[in-house]
Amino acid sequence: MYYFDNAATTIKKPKQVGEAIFEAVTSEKVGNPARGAHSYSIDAFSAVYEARLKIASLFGASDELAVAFTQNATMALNIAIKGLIPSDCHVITTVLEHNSVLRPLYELSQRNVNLSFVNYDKDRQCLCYEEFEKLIQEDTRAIVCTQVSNVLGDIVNLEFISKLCQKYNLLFIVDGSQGAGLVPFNFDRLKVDAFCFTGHKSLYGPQGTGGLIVKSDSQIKGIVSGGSGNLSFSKKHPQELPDRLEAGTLNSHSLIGLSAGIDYVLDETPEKLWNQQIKLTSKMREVFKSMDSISLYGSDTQSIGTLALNIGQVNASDIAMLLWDEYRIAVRAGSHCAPLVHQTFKTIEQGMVRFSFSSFTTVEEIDYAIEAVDAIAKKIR
Amino acid sequence: MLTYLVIVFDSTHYAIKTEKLMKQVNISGRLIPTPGNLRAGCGLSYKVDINLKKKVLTLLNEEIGQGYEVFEIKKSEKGTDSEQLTVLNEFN
Repeated sequence: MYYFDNAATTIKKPKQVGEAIFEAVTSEKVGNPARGAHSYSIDAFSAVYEARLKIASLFGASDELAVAFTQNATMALNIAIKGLIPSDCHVITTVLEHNSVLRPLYELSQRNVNLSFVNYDKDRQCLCYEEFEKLIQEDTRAIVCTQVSNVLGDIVNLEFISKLCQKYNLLFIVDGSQGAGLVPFNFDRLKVDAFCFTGHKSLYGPQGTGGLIVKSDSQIKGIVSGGSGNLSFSKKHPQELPDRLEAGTLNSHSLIGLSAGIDYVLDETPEKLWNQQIKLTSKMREVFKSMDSISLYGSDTQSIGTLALNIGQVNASDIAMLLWDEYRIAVRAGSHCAPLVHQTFKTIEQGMVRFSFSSFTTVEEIDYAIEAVDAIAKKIR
Repeated sequence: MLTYLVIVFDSTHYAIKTEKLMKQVNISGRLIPTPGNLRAGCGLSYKVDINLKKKVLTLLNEEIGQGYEVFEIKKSEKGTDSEQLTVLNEFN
């Protein structure tokens, strides 16, 4: 089996992640964090606190208590978008966004929030950055954008957008689902209002983990309420961070696994992981670029971890099934929950075949995939 | 008479943060369920030896800064007799 669907989830985890989760579940030591003063609860609470510290450290955030855990990036984005963006305003986003950004934004239209989209320039192979400033109007309150496109692998210039947000005093919400753990990111320096991440992709944790980092003095509103382990007689959910954004029992066992995943990223070093993925992405892109029948999408120079292509006019789902049935290569086909990318590239019906990598992807696997695509391309011709 | 400090926090996360900070400087207090007479409604507090008062208050002020109250508790040896509470306001 050859797994190239790491943008959906990294299937191979570092050994220590599995061991940490196994130990957490079988040790009979992990209680409910912040629900008691016995060691079961305290140890679980300490482990979750350590995970907060590691997330804050990895992403350059000075306040670990402004890290809130959720079950995935989608929940984090819902909290950030619905909890930060006011009613009756205008928001700028991009055509690269995933539905986890788009759908919460579309829902805000019920609160009279209007949207504008920054386009993608296929010739320059990047977002039309000049459009951001042109789209700003008097009632613009926020820019919401991805760190890395989940389809194209394009890295978005957050530095540029951050400066614009500071200049016009706009909220800056970043979807880090594809980039977290893969692309260098500094929350404090970029003055981001909410950075949303998932644990099960390039942080190598288990599914069911994710979260968001907000500013210490954030005015973000929580969208869930319930048990918090304190202030039981208050009718209102606690407003301290991270409690404001968390309610109920956390997924402690999995967060312990996520913690081990972050250790792996830090031990390997983000720089090494970055270089490794750049090398793999570039190698595959370079070879495919020289093949006539292959259409490649996205940036040749500013993309990482993901490569989207088509062979002739054949539907992407047919290519994906050929790759799986004949070569045991797992890729993702279709629209990848990013409809506006497909509008841009006019691939709504055809879709795209997406190869995506992890730190465990080898050069030999890349070579095998290249041979398989080449063989399919020749057969189709 | 037993005398000790209990630090009550606005957020349980400050409690776990405080415990870690104290451990790092070898202060061996412990987390306890927040006594209902100090603040009703669950939560975690940090109980520590009264003799470490100055060191603890300094550390709290420097590292936590806000969101806590410090109580000086006086209790009989049996723990069932009257309890005197003093709120320390030196740093917060």
